[in-house]
Amino acid sequence: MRSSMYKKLLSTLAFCLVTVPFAFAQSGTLTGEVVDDRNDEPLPGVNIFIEELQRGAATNFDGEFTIQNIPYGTYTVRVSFVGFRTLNQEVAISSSEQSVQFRIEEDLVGLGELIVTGQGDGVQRGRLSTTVTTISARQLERVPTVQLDQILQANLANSQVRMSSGAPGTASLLRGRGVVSAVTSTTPVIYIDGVRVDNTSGVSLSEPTGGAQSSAIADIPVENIERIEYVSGGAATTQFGSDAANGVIQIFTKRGVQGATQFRFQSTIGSEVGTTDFLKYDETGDILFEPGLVQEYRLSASGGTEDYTYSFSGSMRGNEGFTPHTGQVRHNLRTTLSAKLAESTRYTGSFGFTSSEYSRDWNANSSASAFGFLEGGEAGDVSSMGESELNDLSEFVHGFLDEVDNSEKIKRFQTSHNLDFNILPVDGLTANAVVGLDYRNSKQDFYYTNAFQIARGFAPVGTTDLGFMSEVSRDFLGLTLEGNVRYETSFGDFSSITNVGGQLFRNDDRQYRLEGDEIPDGTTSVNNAAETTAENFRRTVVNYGLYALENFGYQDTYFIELGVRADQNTAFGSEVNTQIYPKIGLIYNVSNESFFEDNIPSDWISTFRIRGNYGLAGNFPTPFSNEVLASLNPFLGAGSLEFGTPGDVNLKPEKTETYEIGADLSFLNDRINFSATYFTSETSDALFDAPFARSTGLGAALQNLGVIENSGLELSSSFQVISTRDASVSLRASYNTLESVVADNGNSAPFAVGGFSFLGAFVDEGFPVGYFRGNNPVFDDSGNMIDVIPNDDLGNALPTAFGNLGINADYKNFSLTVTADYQVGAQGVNVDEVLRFFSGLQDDRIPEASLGESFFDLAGVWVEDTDFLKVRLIGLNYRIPSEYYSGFARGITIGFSVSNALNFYSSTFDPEVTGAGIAGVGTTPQGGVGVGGFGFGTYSPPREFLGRVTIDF
Amino acid sequence: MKKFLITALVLAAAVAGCDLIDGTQVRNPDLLLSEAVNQPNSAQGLVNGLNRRVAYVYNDFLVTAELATDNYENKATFFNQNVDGGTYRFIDDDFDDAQRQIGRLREQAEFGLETVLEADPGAAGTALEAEMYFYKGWAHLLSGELFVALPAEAVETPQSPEFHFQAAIDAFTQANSISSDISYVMALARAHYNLGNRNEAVQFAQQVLSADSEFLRVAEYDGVNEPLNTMQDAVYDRQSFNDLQPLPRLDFLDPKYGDLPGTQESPVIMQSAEEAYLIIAEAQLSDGPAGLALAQQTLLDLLGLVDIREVRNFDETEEGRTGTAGTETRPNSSDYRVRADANSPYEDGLILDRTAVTPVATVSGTSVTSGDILGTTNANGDALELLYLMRQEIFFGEGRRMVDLGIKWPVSEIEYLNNENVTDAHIEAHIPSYIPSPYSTMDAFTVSGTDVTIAIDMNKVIAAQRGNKFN
Repeated sequence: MRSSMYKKLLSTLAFCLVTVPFAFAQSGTLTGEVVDDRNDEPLPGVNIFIEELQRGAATNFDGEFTIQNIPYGTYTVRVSFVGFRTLNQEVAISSSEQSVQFRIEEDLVGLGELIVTGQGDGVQRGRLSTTVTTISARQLERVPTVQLDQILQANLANSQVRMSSGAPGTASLLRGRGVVSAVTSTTPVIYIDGVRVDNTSGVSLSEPTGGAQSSAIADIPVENIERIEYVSGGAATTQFGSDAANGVIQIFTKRGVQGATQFRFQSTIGSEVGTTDFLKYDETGDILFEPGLVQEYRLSASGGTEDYTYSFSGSMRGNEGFTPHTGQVRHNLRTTLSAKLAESTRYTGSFGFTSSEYSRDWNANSSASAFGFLEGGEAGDVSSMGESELNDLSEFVHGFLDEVDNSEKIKRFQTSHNLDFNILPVDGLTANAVVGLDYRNSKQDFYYTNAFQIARGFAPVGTTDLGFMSEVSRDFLGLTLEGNVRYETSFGDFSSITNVGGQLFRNDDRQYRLEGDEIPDGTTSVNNAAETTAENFRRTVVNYGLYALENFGYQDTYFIELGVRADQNTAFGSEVNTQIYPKIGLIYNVSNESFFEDNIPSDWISTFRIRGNYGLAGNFPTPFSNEVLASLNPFLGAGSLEFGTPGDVNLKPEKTETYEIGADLSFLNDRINFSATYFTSETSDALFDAPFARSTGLGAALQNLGVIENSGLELSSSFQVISTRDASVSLRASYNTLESVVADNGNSAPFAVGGFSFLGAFVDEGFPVGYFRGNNPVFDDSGNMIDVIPNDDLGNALPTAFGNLGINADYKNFSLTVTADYQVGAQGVNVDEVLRFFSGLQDDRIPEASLGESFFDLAGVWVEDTDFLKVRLIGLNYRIPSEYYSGFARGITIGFSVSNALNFYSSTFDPEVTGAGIAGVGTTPQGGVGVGGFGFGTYSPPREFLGRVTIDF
Repeated sequence: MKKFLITALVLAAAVAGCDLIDGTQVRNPDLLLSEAVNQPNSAQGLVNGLNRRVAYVYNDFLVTAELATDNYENKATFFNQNVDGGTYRFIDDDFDDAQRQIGRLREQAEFGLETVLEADPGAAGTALEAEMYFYKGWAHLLSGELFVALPAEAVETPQSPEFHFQAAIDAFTQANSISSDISYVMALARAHYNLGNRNEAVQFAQQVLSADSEFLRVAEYDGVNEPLNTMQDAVYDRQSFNDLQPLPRLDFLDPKYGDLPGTQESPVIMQSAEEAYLIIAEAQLSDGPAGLALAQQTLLDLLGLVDIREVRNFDETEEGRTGTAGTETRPNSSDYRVRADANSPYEDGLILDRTAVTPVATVSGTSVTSGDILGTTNANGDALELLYLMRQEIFFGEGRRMVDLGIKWPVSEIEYLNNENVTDAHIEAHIPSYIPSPYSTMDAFTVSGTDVTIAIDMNKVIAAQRGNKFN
């Protein structure tokens, strides 16, 4: 004991001896530049940080930085940049002006990258046992950034992003580790700069346009993104408690780069063309598709000093759409300011605004759906029509389309305020507080005119009492408060990062729907209607909890992660206590062991790490499902009282428990990287919207009844095929398997989560969530239907395997990007073919002898395998050599890209678009589970051919 | 002390300020059921809810019940196609929907009687309480008419039709004792008819006619706030979808539920004075030759009522008489004549020209003439066939034909899975042996030029096989 005290005293004395002279020493300025080690290209935005002084700077657009007033001495300077290996380099300051060049290498493994999601604050990826996908600003620069789901598509190695329709601003389906819930959408929760934002699809009171639902994901401000992190569930999401069983997407915006103001102007122009790949009749495309002009202009600026930085970006986008009746106009603004308020305090504020206006066509078999009218066969066999007949048909179709109108306007404001503190004098103790909001207002206007009814042939000329309009307004306000304290320390071979924090978010959703019947054509006010009705919808939920996370390491070889979150939520039943979500993770960096280093040359296998973890995350129930409610409806001018939600005071979150084991390997100096993870998850107390016995008089209600299991292998790899000063080629590929099953239905009856009465997407024991259930016919050799298997398992929309492929190739000033994704083992329902069957235009899937059978019994014939490989994007950029514009600009890049370029597929319809089954049904229509798989009168996403000029000055 | 005060003040302000940022308060915009029941006049609200609910009941069984018979055929749409072909599976969603609504009607009525009246005691002993009993009885009545068996209480053993008819009689009797309303009397007549209780059925039927010989009770729909009338949707609103196609000899009765001005929806007929005549006539026929003349007179009186019921002109220009597009075209003009089977005479006027002003009876219509009535000679033969034809025509689109044919639906899969008292016997439909095979023969007909021959006259079949309800 005495000896230990003595040592402590000595070390304190030594510390004083070392530090005291600083106080009286001279100081100097460190200037320098940071370049890419491969090609000497200067790197803007790199963080330079002097550990001993807890001070730093960032490089400007020319890769240069300056740090003033550094007392003479020797320091460890940390140079860090997303996508590059962190460099720790000793620098001695011994003169008033000192210059240095830091050369950093691209980090192909990414273990040094700081990950925030699920960690409270940044933790190096190498210390984490969970898989995290990141997309950097550099990657984003290679592709057009239009909307978030399109950015994510084919860029997330272990997830699928499927656009449900080609109509602008409509819902997409994001799905990672299977379907963990039978009531909640698979869409991860989304945060921008620490603030939870609206990610709702299928707004409750919105006008159904035949399946293509408006989605809040489509207008999440994507301006000025620095980095996107994505975790697909499991232990990585435990920090988010009852809100994150489907994973988390975090978006971080650019804070600006120190230096003189730098501007970037970008102009994009091109064309959007309807995809005819999946059409039954080419004539549908001839009649409906018309290439539309796409244009976008973006101006961004960034700059700052050592004490403050700023970043601004604004853009305008116009898209005339690929049919005369679809289109989009969007305006974006984003400003981020970061300022040092005191030596130990930094404030960062981020403000984003988006205004979007969409016009959309109808889908499916609604009477205003031209696509369904033509493709569904209602117009007859258009492939056998002559030119004049087709011209007449075209005139008829555009005639009625001109008389309906469906538009949506969205205004969205999102802001985040972040305070970072260094809690001096304790070294390594920092704190962070975030407060922010996301406000989204959408207004949908919808007009079915008398002229439409007449043009469509539904009403005689002179009709004046069939005009109809609706106006839907939705206000969403999401508030987020979070605070955490972090303590990072090391002692000897041990290191520790501790995070303790609390988080609260509150979502208020208010919707109003006004309807006017018998409106005169031309009016846009319900005040002019003969009859008006109004409806509203309110949903509020608050989730709040505390978390504690510990990441403990030994020698950079062994790490253990521990964490716990305690949660309360207003959607829990009154009898439900605080919910606890624990996690534990282990990491073993085998390649750091001396026996490994001694026996295996590091240029053969540079990294070999094994990791495993266990974690719990949840999904809170649909708000207000926990109370026994009355249903009070107007009926014939009077109020009525009926049974409402049956309610359950014991309603609690469903909890997904995930075990994960994996390994990361890098070969040949990181030229080949390979990552494998096996996960198995079990959702217990799964919320089922299960029906009660009919004799109870109650409908369905959310109950914690089921068990859902998902498991799979996630493999991803990258290959640096060429890496020279002039050229680099890297390939990436991923392959994921998936097994998903409802292991226990809690003795509930099967219930539908989508689809149709003749063939639905069901939840039942022994099958994946949303499997296709319907009757399956058996035919004899002569084509007679000799048997029907009732309620047969007809397949499901979840693939048994999926993944994506990518190529990044750079040669001198050229850079090429190709992304693609694929799936195998899934099925889908060709509902358009059912409509053609009704119209007597079926293909030969039903034998002639059975054409008179009930289509309920024929259901199985319309299910098809939906394997596909889709090339989502081909982009080519060329950086014009500076000699052509020196003095005018710092850099000019021109680019060309094709979106949705190529489709290879096994089905006779586009397996991704879906007119049914993307948002929930039953008691959870908004934000409910959707598995897709019903191809129903819906356009596929169009091809976009875009040219782009980017000027930096 | 000063410091302490300042600190205390700051702390107090901070604590008070917490209210300003307390984001955990959430207000449900809807009322708890217990709150709603304790609102003033909750019994009136409950009865309005029952009126609304019965509209849903009809929405969820009527189309399927009509398709299950020779009245209508579904050629090509999302409405049920299996029952058309005689495929009755307990997994059928339509059977389930019907049970769900009937169960809800009964449970809500009982909730009214047991809970709401307690909270709104002023309504006890008034017409409101009587209506609660009426709807409870109506749920039992439909349970007995449509299903092989259904639980009479939540998650209990399914009970026979006879049990339900008796429960209906009990409830209607209660209603009738509380408040005088002719619909309760008519309901009693119908329930007793179903049990074959001649004396009671006739007595109540006569009571109806003496009170109001044009009596009518309908299930109303709300074209603005819903529910809309699904049967109207199927037979009229969907127009060119050609959902439900009537048997050619019943063409003139379609669409019973057509478009009304503005946002009004056609009501569905629950009860009419016509039924009282039909019950009395059937009772008279059950007396054999002695009753024939009386029955003929009753049916002639019935014709008088049918004659004064409303006929509306509907725009039927979009309604086709096609089945699946591109396949058979059904008889579609007044050029056609139809016979009830190969042994019957052809009749004109049964098929209408579908024009912008197509006249259709909205309450009751019949092709039967006074000559037809007076021409009958056999109380258990042609007169009974004619009676069944009149029941078919007058009750067209009211879900009654299936009951006359003796077809009953099974207990649904969801009740079966949630209720251990449901046995395998309960999940089998009842299809009488006299229903032809294949089942779809009921909808079959042949066309030769403009001559249409119905494959089988089901009125002859049920007159011969099922006989008189009171025998």
